[in-house]
Order: sequence, then C-alpha cells, then structure tokens
Amino acid sequence: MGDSMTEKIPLLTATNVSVSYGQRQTVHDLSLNFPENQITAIMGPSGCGKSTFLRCLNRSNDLLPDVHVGGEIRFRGDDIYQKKVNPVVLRTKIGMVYQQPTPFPFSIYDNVAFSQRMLGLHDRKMIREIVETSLQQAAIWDEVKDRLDTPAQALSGGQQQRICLASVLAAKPEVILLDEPTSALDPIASAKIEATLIELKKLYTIIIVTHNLQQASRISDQVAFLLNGQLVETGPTAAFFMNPREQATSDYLNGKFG
Amino acid sequence: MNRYLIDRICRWLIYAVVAAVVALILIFVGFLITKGWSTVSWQFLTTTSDDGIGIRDQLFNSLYLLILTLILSCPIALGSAIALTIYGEKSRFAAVAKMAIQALSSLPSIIIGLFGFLLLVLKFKIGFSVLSGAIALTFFNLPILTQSMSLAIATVPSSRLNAGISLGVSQWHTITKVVLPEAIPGMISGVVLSAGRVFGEAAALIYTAGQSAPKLNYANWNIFDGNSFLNPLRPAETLAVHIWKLNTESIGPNAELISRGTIVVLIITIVAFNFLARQLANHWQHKIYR
Repeated sequence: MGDSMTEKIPLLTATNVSVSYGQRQTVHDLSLNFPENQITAIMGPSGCGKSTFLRCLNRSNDLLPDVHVGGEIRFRGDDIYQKKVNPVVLRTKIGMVYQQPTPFPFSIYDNVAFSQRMLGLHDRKMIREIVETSLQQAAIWDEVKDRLDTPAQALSGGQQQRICLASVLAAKPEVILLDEPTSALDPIASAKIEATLIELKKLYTIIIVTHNLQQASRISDQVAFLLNGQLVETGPTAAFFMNPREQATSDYLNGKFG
Repeated sequence: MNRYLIDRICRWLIYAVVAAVVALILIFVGFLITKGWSTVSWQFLTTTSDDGIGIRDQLFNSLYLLILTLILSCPIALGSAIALTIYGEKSRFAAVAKMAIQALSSLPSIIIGLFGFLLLVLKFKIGFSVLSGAIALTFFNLPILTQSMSLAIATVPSSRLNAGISLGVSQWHTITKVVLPEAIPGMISGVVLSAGRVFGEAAALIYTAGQSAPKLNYANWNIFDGNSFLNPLRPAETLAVHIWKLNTESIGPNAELISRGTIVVLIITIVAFNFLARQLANHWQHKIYR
C-alpha cells in the first residue's frame, strides 16, 4: 500500500523547521508534510532530533525553558506558532502519547474522561459514551469494561499504553503523535498497538517516532529518516525500504550504525 | 577478617546506634512525663491560672495562634512551592529564592521575634497580640513549610504534567487536578510536622504575642471585644511562653509544679501531631490509590 495515498492534501506541514535548546541546535531546516489519514514514521538513531521535532508539532516544547523553534508549522493552513493560537486548544487537536505509559493515579474511567471533564463537559451520559468509544477505538474495551473503577496504574504496561491512547482519543484530536510508544513494551503488546494504529488511521492522521525498522515498515505509509537533526530522505514506505536513494539511509537500514 | 564478618559487625553497629538514639528519646520523654504527670488533670486543663494552677487560656492561645499561623502560611507556602518546583524549576530566580529560603529556615527564632517586635508591635502599632504573634510565626514557619511542600510536589513524576498537556488540558488544571492531589499526603505531613514546631515555639512569641494571658470569655463571640476569646488584637501567652515565664520570672509557690505539667501537655500534643501526620498521610495515600 502507500504509493497512491501520498497524493492526498497534507493536513500538517513543516517548512524549514529548526529547533535549538539554548546554544545547541538539534533540528536543522527540516521540511516535511503529513498527509491526512496516513501513518508517517519518523526514524533515525538516538539523539537525531526526531522526538524534539515531534514535540514541536503540538507545541509541547513550549514548557521547556530556552527552546527556540524557527521555520513554519501549519495545521490546516494556519501557522501554529502564531501569537493568536492558544497552545492548549491546539493540543486538543494534536494529541500525544509518550514512550513510557503516563496514566494518572485515577481509575481507568477517570483517566479517559479527564480531558473532556477539564474541557467543561459534565453530562454523565455523554462522558460515558466518549469513554466507551475511546476505549473501543484503542482496542482495550473488552479487557477493561468490567473493571473501569480499578486504578489504571494497576494494568500491565501495554494496557496502560492503550489507556493513554484512549485518553488522547477522548479529547477528540485530528492528529495523534506517538513518541516511541512501544519501545517499553513486549512484542505481543507492541503488535496490539500496531494493529490498533492501522485501524485508527481511517479516522486520524498519525505520526509515530520509532527506531524499530520493522515497525515502521509494517504500519507506515510514509517514512522520514533523520540524521543529526537533518532530514536525509523521505518517501513512501515501500520505496524507502526497497530502494533507498541515499547512502546513509541504506547504511542505516543495513544496520551499519544506529 | 573475612568480609562476611565485617558485614555483620557493621550491621550490628548500625543497630546499636539506632537503639541508642531511641533509648535517649525514651529516657528524655519518660523523665519529663513522670516528673509532671501528677499535675495534669482535667481541672489543670480547664481552669485559668487566676483560679489556681490551670493552663486553659494558654492551651487555647497556643491552638488559636497555630490555626491563624497555618491560615496565613499555608497558601503562601503552597504558592511558592508551585512556583519554585513547576513554573520556575530551572530559572535563575528560583535558584536565588531557594537559597534564600534555605538561609531563612536556619534563622534563629529569637531574631524573628525581635524583628516582629520592631516591625509589627512598634512600627505598625499592632501591639502585643495574637495577630503579631501569628505573623511572626508565619515568618518562622514559611521557609520550612515551603521546603516540605516543594519536596512533596517534586515527588510527583514530571511526566504527569506532560501527559496532562498532551491531552489538551491546561498546565494549571493539570497542576490542580493531578499533581497537587497526588502531592497531598506529603504536603499534609509537612503541614502537621511544621505545626508541631510552631506549637512549641517560644522565642518568636515572647516579644510579639506577649507574655500575659488576660482573662478570656469563651461565650463572647464578638471578635472586637477585648475579652472575647477570638479577639486577635489581645495579648496571648502560649504554653511554651508560659513555661519560659514560670521558670524565669515566677515567684509563686506552684511555679515548678505548673511548669512540669505544662511541659507534659506540650510534649504530648506535639507527639500527637506527629502521629496525626502519619495517619493523615496514609489515609490520603489510600484514598488516591483506591
């Protein structure tokens, strides 16, 4: 799959993005488009700037001191770093799942309901519906439907990660960012998350950072390869893995570094 | 000597040191309690010194001052702790503020008392009063309370904040709905432990809350009346100041007797505070992780 899908209009575009922490620049002049309802995998060795770049896409870097983001990131045509954009509202549209599962010390139900409650929804019936749909979409409903009152932190790592995914889905985003979501999980739990993501791309645009090559090849439509904060190569997944254009890509795919 | 033996000897040495410390505390507290226990009675706790040896007013003054001090210092300490640990974690201002707080926490309390005397009692003309005492105790309490609250907040994983904002929830809501509730057990024990320190403080109060205990009318709820027990502008001698005064100035025949009894009441209350701190913290811990 993949080739025909790249013709879609990009939902999110990054143009000449540079990021620096204080004096140190970690992302250099990076341009990348994210088409709607596709999975884009961002790959590269540790420290190549892929997580940093991902965090710019929903402005979660804003909380760190001394971060400067240059260039332009547009979501549905609007620059997200414009003054009039409220980053809190933006993040309801572009949610994020982290490497380590980050459930709150609440019950499963309260975890998933959290974002809607904070947005001011108090109708119990509507909250219940959103929680159920989100848990179903995250493919964990069947495992937890009888114990929604138990603490989310008592679940296994893989289940916790899907609860976190469900919590993000409950905020009704359009884009889901995932920062190495399966690197702390075992292969079976990872496979479940991967299957879930493939199902979810029908409704959402997904951007996943991973250094698992097999994972990228299994689930993504488009791949971007980063090295030392620069974009080396990007393209449809099949072409990227079969015929890499750059020597560095080929070396990475063959396990010569990384 | 083999390593196994060294390991065993060291372990027993550490046990011995711990046992010595525990024994010291037990001897110390036991001695004071046996000396003063016979004085403590229901009458001792519920009558005034005018009627004989009672400490009712001093006991009430101590509690009243404690409550006012906590009302004044908790919000300020909580705000500073949030500012220092979450918002300004890595700023230069926070670094300076943390150093200042550390320095303040080791300031001798008599200096705080004299500063309060000059500023509150004389300059602002509040006089020797519950209010002056509570403000002085707030100065005394703030550094330690801020430190313990900061510590409690710092034990909450920072990933909570990231997780909150990545759901499109504002930083403030994440702090108030997730971070602070999780920090509550630590904060409660911090508050109660500092309450014990405040309750037993004498030097900061001698020149601020004063050394006299005017007769109080517990039926008078008008806080503007001079004899009302709630009036914040009347002088208020506390238990600790009472002990100090009995031992320095008193010429009454029962001074030593009252002093010993008051010591027992003070110690038991402070031990009770410590016990309460643990219970409350455990209770909340269970409440959060049902």
